[in-house]
Amino acid sequence: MKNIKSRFLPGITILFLLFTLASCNKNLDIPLPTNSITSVSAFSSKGGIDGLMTQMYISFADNLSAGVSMPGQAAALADDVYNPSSFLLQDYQVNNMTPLTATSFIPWDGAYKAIYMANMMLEGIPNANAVGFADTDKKQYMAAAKTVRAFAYFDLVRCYGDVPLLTSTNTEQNKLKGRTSKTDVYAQIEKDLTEAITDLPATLGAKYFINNKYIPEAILANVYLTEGKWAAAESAATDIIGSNKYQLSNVANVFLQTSTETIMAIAYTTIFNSVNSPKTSPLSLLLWPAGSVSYEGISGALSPDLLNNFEKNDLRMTNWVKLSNTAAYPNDGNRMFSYKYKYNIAVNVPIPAGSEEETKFIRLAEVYLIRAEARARQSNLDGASSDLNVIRTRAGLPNIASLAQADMINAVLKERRAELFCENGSRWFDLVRTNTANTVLSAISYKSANWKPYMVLFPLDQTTLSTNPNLTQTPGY
Amino acid sequence: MQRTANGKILLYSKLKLLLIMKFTAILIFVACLQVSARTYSQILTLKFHNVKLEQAFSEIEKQSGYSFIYGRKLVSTANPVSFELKDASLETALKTLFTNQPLSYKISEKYIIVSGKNVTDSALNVHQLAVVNPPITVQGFIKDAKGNAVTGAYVKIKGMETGAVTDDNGFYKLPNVNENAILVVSAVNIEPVEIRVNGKSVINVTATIKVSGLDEVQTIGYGTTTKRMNTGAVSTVKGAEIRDRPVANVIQALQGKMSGVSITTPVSGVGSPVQMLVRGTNSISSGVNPLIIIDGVIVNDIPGGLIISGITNATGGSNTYAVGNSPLNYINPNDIESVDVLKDADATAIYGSRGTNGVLLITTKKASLGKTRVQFNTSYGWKQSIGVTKRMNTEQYLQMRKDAFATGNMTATSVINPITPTNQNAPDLLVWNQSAYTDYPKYELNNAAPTYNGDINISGGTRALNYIAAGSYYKMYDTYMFNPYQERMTGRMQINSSSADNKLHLVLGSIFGIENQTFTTTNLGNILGTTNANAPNFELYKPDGSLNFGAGQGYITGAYYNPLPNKNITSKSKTDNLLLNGDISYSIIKDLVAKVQISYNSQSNGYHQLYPSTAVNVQNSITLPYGLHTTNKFNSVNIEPQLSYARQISKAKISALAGATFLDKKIEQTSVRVNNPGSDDLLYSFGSGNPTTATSNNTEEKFHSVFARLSADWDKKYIANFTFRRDGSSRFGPNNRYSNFGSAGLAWIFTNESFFKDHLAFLSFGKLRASYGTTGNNNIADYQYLSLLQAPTNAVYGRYNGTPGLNPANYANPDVKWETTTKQDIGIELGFLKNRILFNATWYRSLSTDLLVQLPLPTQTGFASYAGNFPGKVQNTGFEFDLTTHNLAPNNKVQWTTKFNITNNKNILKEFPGIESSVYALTYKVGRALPSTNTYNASMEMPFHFKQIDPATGLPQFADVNKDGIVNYNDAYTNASWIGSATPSLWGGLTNNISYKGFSLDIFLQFSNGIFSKWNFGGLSQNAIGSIYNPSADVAGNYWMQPGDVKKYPRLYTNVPGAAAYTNPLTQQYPFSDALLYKGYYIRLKNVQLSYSLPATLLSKIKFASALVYVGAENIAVYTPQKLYKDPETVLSRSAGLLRTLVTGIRIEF
Repeated sequence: MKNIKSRFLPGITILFLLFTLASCNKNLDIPLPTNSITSVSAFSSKGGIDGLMTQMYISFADNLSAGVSMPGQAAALADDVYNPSSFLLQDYQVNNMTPLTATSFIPWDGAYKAIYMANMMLEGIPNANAVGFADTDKKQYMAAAKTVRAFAYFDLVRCYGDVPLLTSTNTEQNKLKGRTSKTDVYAQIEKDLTEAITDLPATLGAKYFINNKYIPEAILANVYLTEGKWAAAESAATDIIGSNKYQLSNVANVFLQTSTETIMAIAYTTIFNSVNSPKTSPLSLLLWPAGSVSYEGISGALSPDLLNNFEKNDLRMTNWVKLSNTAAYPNDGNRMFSYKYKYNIAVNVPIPAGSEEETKFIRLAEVYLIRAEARARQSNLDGASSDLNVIRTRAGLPNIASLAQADMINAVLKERRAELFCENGSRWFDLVRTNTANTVLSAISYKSANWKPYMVLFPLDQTTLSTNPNLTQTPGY
Repeated sequence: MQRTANGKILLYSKLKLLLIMKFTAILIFVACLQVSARTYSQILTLKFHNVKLEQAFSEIEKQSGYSFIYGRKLVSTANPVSFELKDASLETALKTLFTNQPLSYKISEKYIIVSGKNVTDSALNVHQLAVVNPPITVQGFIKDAKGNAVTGAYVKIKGMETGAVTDDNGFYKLPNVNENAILVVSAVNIEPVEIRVNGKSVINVTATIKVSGLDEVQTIGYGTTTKRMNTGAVSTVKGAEIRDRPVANVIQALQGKMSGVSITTPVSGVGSPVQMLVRGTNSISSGVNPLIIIDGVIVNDIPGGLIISGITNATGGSNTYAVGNSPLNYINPNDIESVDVLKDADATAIYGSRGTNGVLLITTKKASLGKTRVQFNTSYGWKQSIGVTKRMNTEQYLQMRKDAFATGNMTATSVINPITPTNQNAPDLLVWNQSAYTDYPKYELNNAAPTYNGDINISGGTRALNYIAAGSYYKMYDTYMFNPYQERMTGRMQINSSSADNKLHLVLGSIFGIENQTFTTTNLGNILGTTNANAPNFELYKPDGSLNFGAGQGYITGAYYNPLPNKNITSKSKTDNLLLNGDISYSIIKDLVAKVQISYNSQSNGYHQLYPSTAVNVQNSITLPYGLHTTNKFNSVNIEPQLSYARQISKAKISALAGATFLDKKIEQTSVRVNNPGSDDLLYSFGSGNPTTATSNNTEEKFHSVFARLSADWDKKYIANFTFRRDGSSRFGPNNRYSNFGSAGLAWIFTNESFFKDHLAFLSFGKLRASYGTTGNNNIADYQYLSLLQAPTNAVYGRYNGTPGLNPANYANPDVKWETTTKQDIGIELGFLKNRILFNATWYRSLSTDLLVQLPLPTQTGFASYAGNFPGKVQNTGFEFDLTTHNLAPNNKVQWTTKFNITNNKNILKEFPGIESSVYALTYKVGRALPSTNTYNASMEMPFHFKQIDPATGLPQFADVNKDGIVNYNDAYTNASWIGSATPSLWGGLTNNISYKGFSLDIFLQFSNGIFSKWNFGGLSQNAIGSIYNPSADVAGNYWMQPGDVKKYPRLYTNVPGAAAYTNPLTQQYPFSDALLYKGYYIRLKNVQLSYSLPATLLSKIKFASALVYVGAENIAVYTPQKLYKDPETVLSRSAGLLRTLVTGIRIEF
């Protein structure tokens, strides 16, 4: 018996050893995947922090009204583009907004992704100890994050009204949060932008990044205009114009990389298989499909209404609008397209040196127009007409005569439409903020069947609603 | 030299052992095989000088490999021998040896049977031998009716404990037998036989093989058992049942063959993935695949883990199957001896955390012992696309289009508002030839598709050392245009060795497989760019011979797509798979065996997609050439030491097993995209891109566990089985890495009780069994407990101004932990009429908690979902029935076997505290099935409810399910619109085999109930009928035209926008409603196969051991009550059903 025991002993020992070996937590430690790092290590190096900043810009460029898709979609929702047999923009141009199609009405998911990234920066940077990451850098990066967050909320609040206001990355707290009142959201936007302006220098850097105070200031001017805070809007605009850092370009050069009026531009977030990337604008495809037969039929041509808005001899009409150069639509009549950006990633026409383009996010002309409207609203009609005439002169148009306040406001809005068509959803947001959307859109034949006054705000899609029971559908839908 | 006359043939094995022990390395081992092959040559050199005959026997045994069988008494009378021979044949040697001896001999197999001279060879008349005094030695062969050896049979003297076991040739030798004793021969697979010795020393027995499979070996986790003794629920399909089925993946051949196992092929086509569910969906979304084990080696358990990761992590494979390739694509189905699927806790708990979804155990064919055997099989087949949606001809189509414009648009005020066709919106009516006709479904889907298969295996050896080597080649074309195909080469070798004292066993195995696949853009169920719904008068060529892209502009996907440029796209994948397995076991002391299994699995997949300038198509958005090159490498090392102990004490048999697992898996991925390199010849040149972009990733996973099992049976009546496993996985955070799993299984073979034996003799077998236990699931992505920031995972996206970003890859859940499933199982197994009828009924229930899912998050958090444990409990309950009947008596010339199985599974959300305030409030409901995880099916479960086509307006009308007075989107995609689970609730199969002489006929039917199928007009972006594509022949003349019409289909829609009240029902509600949804059943004639074996008389003339020719057909026909969509199984498909395959082949053995 003893013999048997001693023979079992090695076996039992082995088993015991195996058990110990297999139960040791440490043995299960694995290296991180090689293409990933933890957020702790990301914030411990300048490169890591820059990577996160880049990601924040990607969300900003891909998902917000400044980005690739929204300008075309918003132009169709408003009355800037129309394609009688369009397929890509059909739901937009007939304002067929329903919870089912809501996913295509950005920017809900994308805006919150940008907000998450900004919150992550704002939480991580104060404690970041990275070589070469000075306190001044910290301040500027924080300011950039605040600007992105503010702009994302600005888009959200303009599109959806009340929206959940989230200022941390705490998912547990954020996930079931319902809508916050618009007033509180605007308060946060103003706070973020004001802080950003304070923390950013007045010297200009690369124009694809938020690196100087004029960028948050220009956004803030737009925010104040939307809120109807005229004096504040004017003061912000004046600061930018008065800095003399930017000058209006010739009409022909406004959208070139060499343009002198660019306050901020949007860079590519992808590497296209195009010889022209990044020498052209990523957003041009939907609006100017020149030479791309697969897009011609489905792109948004400029609406007759917009074309009629142009005055005679407007240089913008000759420089920024073009008749489709193919005989694609013999039965549909000739189509005019936005020709602000002249080259197309999908068409590999080599771009002549000096003609490289980029997508403008904020340019000086808009700031002038903001100030013109703010002044007009405050009855500073001379100030308004002087700003307006700066833009008109550049467009080759005569100065406007003196006008009554209401007419002056209308003149500014008309000028905004001519100057900013197909840019950043400008026309749509103008219609909404001036409460004219209902009057204007319900009068358009192809929209009237679907248009309802509540459609100035977008619906939430079914998935968004079903994953957060505390979210309510936008009224009306 | 060892004497042979002790009842065991040891000389040979000793010799082999000596040889083996000299060599340790594997390669030398293989060389050894060749050496031993030479050893058996029958060229003998003998030199005897006055030696005893027995001594001469020994020498000849040594040189020839043959063994002598003789009575010692008989040989003692022989004369001493003296002779010399050089390079003589065995026959010459024996002739010389037996000259002048009072003996004669006969060669049988590897034996030389020695008998008295005056006995004729055939009769071996024992009376002549019985002159000597008892006790005598009795010897002989146990064979079955077909002449095959019965190995491992136990031959004993009735009433005594002594006995002998037959060897690989069925030979036994039993010394000290009384002349009048009775021999009892028994074995697991034969009916017991009793024979009176009557003084005979040679007794050959022809045994009757048992008809039931009750005693066939069943593979279970870390061991084997029999169906009779198993306490768990295991379904087994033997290799013979799937052999020669024209399938690329063995799982396809298992469909309908196993109760409790649901197998579906959602996409038809060659190389398409197969989904396998064991006893319902236990997990909601993560890892519903069973664990796959081949010869004890756990293989890469994410089917297609390579290619699917290629999509998400390293860019690539956009043209490969979204759910990837199955690891079983690399295994030749003809190499498989048996497939066992473990289902209940008792069977699966030994695999602990990975057992929840069942375990698929594949055992490959083992060597056949004795003479070297060569088996060769070749077949040729044809594939056909069946169930293709019939489309309209040009006349019908153009009429529909004209009607569409005539019916026109509808505004708020008008019902009929005709639209003028323009070149832009109606090129089919205004521009194209009005009489041209192309049958696009045929063009796209029904091309010639041959299939070739050839495999060969060679095996032989002795118990001491045996081997099998096999190779195969397989190539299968798809019926899709441009001839995509799947090609496979496999090789397999296994060497088994045992020491002379039978204490040391060694198994070395290697399996390799190479799979090549080519793809077209759409042969994978990729519905974009599909051609079969093209307008029938669209012509691919213009009159001048150039390619026609229609008017070009405004191209609508699928409406008039010219696929010809795609012919120049190269899209190919090559996967190499290598499985090495070494297995050493040693019997430390009696009954205690130590074993170590070491295995290595390496898979590498290269995917190349070349889009040359010749493939540029104005209808595609890609306008510049590119080359995409993705490499995925996977390798794993698994070490499993084990100790097992088995002992018979009185009537109790106890066996115990303990072991550990150390598994380490690594995945390496790279993807390179060469953009616009300037020349199509440079698409492979990474340096040529303008620009070239790349991504890469390496990940690792570790898995450690210990396990134990204790089984006991008492008198083969009462059986108990307990298992335990403790698992640790690196997939979980430090606090949740380890978990314990265990089970208990009990069985009572009540027919072994005397009451049943005495009173219910018709019941030949009866067993009650029950099991209870827990298993787990760890199938989530790695690193989910960590918050990680990821560099761009795609060679195109993820940059700003050229700089890569760091993207939060996931919302970390440090608390993510094992999913646990508690399984209960109660079964009864009955055999009647000597087990000619076998019946099995099982009830099971599994309750899963902490299910691993991608929990949805409101996107306002920045994430759409995260890996976590589902807070609810999910229950699957079901019944399984299996019936096997041998319809005719075992000795009847005609044999007819029927196998039937059916499973009913019910899946419900059992409990979910706080569901009302959770993210699931609107989509899940306690007491109801879970919505399908498959997105295609998910939309079928909560669609709009179609009521009718309004005769006044021709618009479809839908139910106001939430009773809020209006039909809007709140009436779909929520709980209120639920119509039932799309996962099958009932499935099974019926196999009939009829054999007569050499003929054998198999007919196999397979069925499924409770499934949805949706007819989607071809899966196009615009589903409304009337726009520029060909929906279906069923539509012709069957649509609403004017007020008062009562028709099956609604009014036509030209895609010219109109009022939402008119547009939305047609474009957004009708296609997502149950109007086009069919819930029901299908019955498929899955396989018919007829084979003919050449008779033995003919075979002996042509020197073949066996030869068989066969013809077969797979997926012959399917019956389903709805008519539109002919194959409900392939819901995701390109408007075609599973491919029908006809095959003819030959299998020979020599």
